Amino acid sequence: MTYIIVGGSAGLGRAIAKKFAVEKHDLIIISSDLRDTKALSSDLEIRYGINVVPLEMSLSKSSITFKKVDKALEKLSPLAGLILPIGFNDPNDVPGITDKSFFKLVNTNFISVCIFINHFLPILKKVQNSTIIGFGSIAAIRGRTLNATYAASKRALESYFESLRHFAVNSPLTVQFYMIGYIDTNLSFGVDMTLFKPAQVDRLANIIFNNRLQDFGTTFYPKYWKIIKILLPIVPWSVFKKFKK
Amino acid sequence: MVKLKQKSLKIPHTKRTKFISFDGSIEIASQHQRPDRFRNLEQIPKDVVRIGRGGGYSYAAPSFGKNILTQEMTSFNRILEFDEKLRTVVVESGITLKELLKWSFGNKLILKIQPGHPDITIGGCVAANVHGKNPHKDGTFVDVVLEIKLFHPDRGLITLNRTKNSKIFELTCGGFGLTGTIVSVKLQLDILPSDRMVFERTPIESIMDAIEFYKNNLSADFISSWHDGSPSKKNFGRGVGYKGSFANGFKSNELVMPKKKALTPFSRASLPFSIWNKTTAPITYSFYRKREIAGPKTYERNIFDSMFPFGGSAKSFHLFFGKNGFAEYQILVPFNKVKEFVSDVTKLIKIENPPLIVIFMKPFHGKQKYLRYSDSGITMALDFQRSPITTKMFSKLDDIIISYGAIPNIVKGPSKRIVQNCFPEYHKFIDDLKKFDPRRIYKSDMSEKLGL
Repeated sequence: MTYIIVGGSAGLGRAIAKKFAVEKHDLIIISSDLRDTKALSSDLEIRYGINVVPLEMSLSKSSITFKKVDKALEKLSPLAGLILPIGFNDPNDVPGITDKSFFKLVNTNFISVCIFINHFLPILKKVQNSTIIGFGSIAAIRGRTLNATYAASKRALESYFESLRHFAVNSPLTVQFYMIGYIDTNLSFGVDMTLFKPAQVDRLANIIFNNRLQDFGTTFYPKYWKIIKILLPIVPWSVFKKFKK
Repeated sequence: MVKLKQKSLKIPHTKRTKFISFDGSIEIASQHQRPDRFRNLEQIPKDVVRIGRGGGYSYAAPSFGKNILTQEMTSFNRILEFDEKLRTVVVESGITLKELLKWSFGNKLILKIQPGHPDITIGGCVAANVHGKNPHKDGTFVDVVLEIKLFHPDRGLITLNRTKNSKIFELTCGGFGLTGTIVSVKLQLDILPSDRMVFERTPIESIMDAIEFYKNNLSADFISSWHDGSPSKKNFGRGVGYKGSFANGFKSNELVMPKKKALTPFSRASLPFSIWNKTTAPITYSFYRKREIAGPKTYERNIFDSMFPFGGSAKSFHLFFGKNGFAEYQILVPFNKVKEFVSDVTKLIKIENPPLIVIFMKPFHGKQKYLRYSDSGITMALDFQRSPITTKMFSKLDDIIISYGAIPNIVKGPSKRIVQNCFPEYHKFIDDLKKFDPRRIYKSDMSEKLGL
């Protein structure tokens, strides 16, 4: 079976691609830089003997064409899933950000993800044991100054996945949404992690693969973020407003 | 030239890391980047002084330095191309020897030149022009490198091989990462005849006897000897020689690997004190030698243990030096001068009585160029407990080495004086490097100390 991984060239996406390749699934790996996707595709093909198509697409733009993806799918085994470990943040993402940066953040983290889902939904809804997996962020639990647009986009995405799951009831399609805490990727490299030790991406990739057909809706990784999700919204404003970092 | 003044440099996804050399001698905190995509290499401002880093197993500090950005290439560890017919593979520079062996084993292929630690990266092997199990038969790492892709912010990604940018290719192999960031390497692999090697032990009474042992076994797949370094008349130089060759056929199609991780520069320094000293070393090596000689003359080892003794069976050797670390002096002595050289070094050891723990030796064959550790002769690695007596002894050893025209292995941390005096192309290396990179933005603690 084939899985499409959007944002699959580095970090969590790369770990997921590796896990699905180890399990002998064909892949279409999409990222904004073909040099990275090509390198990963060659590696997975050589090591695990599967078929991988690397594609370059910019998800920060508002219009996306799926010609290349559809064409690639014709040569591969049937599509079984869409995995969207894509995320983009900007160190200057505070309220008042420029329009250009705002649209880039919203497009990459929300709109393009939904457009991808909408394009492949008709196929996946008909395929047995199919799955769509999305990824949110713990930044979206309660809005703060930093990552304002990113967090808003991820919260919107969470809502879209709730609707998607509702839509897919009584169909063979499984819809999952992972709320991700700090994980050990290049994005967290250099970030102060005194309180939260970053979790291993390879472990998360294993969990994602093993549970890809479980109908649990939304889950947290690492698990303890579920407790923070409950507690953070009830932290009094007088305290919360001091959480600047 | 770019000056080192980057204390307040702020680059996204970098952090301040305390780096430590594997021998425990150098500790420096500096900025650290772990690129995992091509644009991470390009996003660093052009004037930032930087250096690439692989596994970090050098005994000196060629991959970090004060106010120098270290670019750890371990996420660039993908296999890019494989030509089954020609037995060539293109890998990214951050792939470790262990990862490469894990893959190549499945294709019944092997990289014939591999140093003894499994977590050393291919980029590190190129930069240090390492040697393997029989450098007399196989040469040094440059002999298995067909092509390199090098990134330099002023030149972009450039291809180096023996016909295209050949001068930069020569400068990069054994160039300590000073020409640029090694991104990928095309390697020549060899057929792996077996999943095991058969070893033969030979008791050796003196260092000079080892030379005879080598002369009789120059075509072996593996050849090496160790010698007791204690200055006592009775034991000094006594040791065991090992000759290894690939067994016939495969007993298993699975690569057997140790479950425990190999030592890192930090875990190596986990003991608060040194177990090795002038008393424990001769006793240990005397017992060990007796046990080795009493055992069967031949024995088998799986490929992983044969290639990477310091990743498995001999792991405790480095661990036992404790937090204070060790000092290794590795020299390559021309064949025709070995006898006199050994005699002079032996005299010096007996006079100075340093905490010399053990001596490792191998035969070499190759052509010396730039600062590469390559020539025809015998390589001797003298491993000392780190102490003031050792430091004093090193300066006297330097004089002997200079007088014999021997060369030191630069990644083991020799002084500028000896490097300048022993490498005929020391100045040519610097001049050619400046011609290629007039701004000299690739630097390290080691290059600064050696004036490179």
